[in-house]
Amino acid sequence: MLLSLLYLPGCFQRNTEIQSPPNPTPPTNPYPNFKPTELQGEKNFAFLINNYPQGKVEPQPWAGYWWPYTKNGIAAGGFMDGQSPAGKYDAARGGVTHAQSWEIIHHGASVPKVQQWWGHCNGWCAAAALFPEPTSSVKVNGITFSVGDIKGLLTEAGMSVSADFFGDRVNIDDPNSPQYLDTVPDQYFLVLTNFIGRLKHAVLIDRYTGSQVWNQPLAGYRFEYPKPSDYLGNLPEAPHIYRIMLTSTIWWMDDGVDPSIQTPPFNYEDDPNGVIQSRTLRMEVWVDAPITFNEQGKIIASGDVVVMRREKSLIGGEWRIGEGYLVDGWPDYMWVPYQLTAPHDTEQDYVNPEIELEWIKSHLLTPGGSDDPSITPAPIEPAPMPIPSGFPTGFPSGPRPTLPSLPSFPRTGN
Amino acid sequence: MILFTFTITWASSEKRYLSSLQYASQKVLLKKQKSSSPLALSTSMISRQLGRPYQVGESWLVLAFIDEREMMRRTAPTRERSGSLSQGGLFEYRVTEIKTGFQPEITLSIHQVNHSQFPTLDPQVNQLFLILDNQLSQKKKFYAMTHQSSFISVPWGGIGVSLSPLNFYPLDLPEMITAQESTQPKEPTMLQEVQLRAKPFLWKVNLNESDGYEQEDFFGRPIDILWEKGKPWPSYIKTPRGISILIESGGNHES
Repeated sequence: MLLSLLYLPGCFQRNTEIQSPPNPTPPTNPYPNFKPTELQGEKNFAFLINNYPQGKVEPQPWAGYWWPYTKNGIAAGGFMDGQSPAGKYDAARGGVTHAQSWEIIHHGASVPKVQQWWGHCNGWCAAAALFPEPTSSVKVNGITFSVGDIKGLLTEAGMSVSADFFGDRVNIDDPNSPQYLDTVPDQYFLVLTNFIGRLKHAVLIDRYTGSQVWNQPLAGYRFEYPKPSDYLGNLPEAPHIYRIMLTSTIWWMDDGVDPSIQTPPFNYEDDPNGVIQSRTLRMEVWVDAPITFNEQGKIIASGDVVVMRREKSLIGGEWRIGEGYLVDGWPDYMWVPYQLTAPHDTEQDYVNPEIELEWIKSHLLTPGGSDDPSITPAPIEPAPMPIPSGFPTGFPSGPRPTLPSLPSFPRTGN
Repeated sequence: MILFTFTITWASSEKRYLSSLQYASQKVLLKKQKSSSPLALSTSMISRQLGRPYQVGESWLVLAFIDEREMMRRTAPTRERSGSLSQGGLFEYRVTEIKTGFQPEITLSIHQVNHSQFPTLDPQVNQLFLILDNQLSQKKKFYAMTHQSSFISVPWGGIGVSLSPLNFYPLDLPEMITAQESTQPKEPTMLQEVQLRAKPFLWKVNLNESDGYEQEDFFGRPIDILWEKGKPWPSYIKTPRGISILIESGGNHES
């Protein structure tokens, strides 16, 4: 023991108390986001399809705006009469922060090599999943923040988040690459049924199967209950894998809307105004034991859903929605956000460091707003007009925006 | 021409489909055999790796990092692919109890070590407990909170929880009994970044003396393990969430 302590460089304090092996009792939970229902994963196909054929995220994520870089991100004044969320934030904090100028430099139209689709979709996704939807404007230190302003600031804070990822992002549009072929259906099935079905936990997707990144928070999913005729059984060449056809629909919230809108309740339907959108996917799911139906057509037994690695590829099921290059097929990747984090990299440029989440929580997320008596508010700086980058937007640095086919979505970015 | 292209694509995808099915079928069979193998049941995994059973009181130190995935951001592909390791945490593992008999159990406690370079990550957690069987298959995981006498049972193996930042660190032992042993252990990925971040500890893996294992988590995501012979814990574990490395194998604290 002494030797090992001396061996260690640096200094540390060691807690040497040994507790007895635990006998779990209901705890007082010190973590507000922790759901006591969080459980081990479940893989049995019969259990999952019988108990969780559909699911909704609770609380429901909200629709919002993706704050494109080409419009200066959250320093854009287009929605707020020439004033931006970042500018109002700086004013309410007495001008001691510089969120608007940071945003213009790092998330603005003049960012080198900026692509038309670059934006804050990932930050909005995380914020929409982790915070309740703001429902009314608030006044802090004499500055009025609209619902859109609050959503914009939460979106920026959401740019740094701890999360789990499923599937790898496509960077080159090669329909035979492992990155393009995942997420695989079995992983998709397990993520939806376990996280949304069992836990009601938010799941986010990149809905663009190709190289562009269009993050969206799922509102819910539904699998059509399979019929006996959907069961394909096994093949002589692969006797330990049993296959079944499934059809699923996923619904997501849109981020191409006015940031101040209130999201309609989700009820497994598209919204006529496009706020809630959907996609239907057909797939083959693989399990490791036979699937048995009873006379009423209910699945009464099955193996576990199979998903595994094969070198750099993922194996587990097969998408059945057509051949070739698709952009509106399966999710390029799926991710599950847990909590917003402070970046540890001081050189980072993905989240605006002038925006303080704790200040937002304390002053903007309380009903009506809560003044910060420690500062004197400053005038709101008008939002500058975006100045386009000197580089062409098609500069070949990042994922290509339009190859080989244009998406049919109503907006132009992430 | 269009028809020709479609035919090639279809043929190629059918070939890939059959190949994937066959691979999956073989792997399912292999895992079932490993799980039920009489050899596996009679040979303790820890004896195989460490050369002897665990002893109560023995301890070791593990340094763990989260691999911050950036794929959801608009950053350039090269940066996304490499990932970046977040602030590390130093952890002391200790064998606190061994039960023998019909259902053998090994209890490991994990303390956060407050090191000058690796400060405590979550002061609300006093320690963690892992309960393993004699094949090192994890059966339970608990958090002992700092100011409470109760324990919180948490999941592991792929389903995340928002409980504590600690839950993102690869502190669990992956399922070893069904892991696929590599014929040629590969050098750890992100080796240089790990070594850089692990300073001031000198860390290296002796590949000639190590067994390499490939495993998947609950969602099929890859886990790579390197276990050096004679060590009480893997020298290197890479999970979808991060990397942990064995810094030091301590002695028996009761000796």
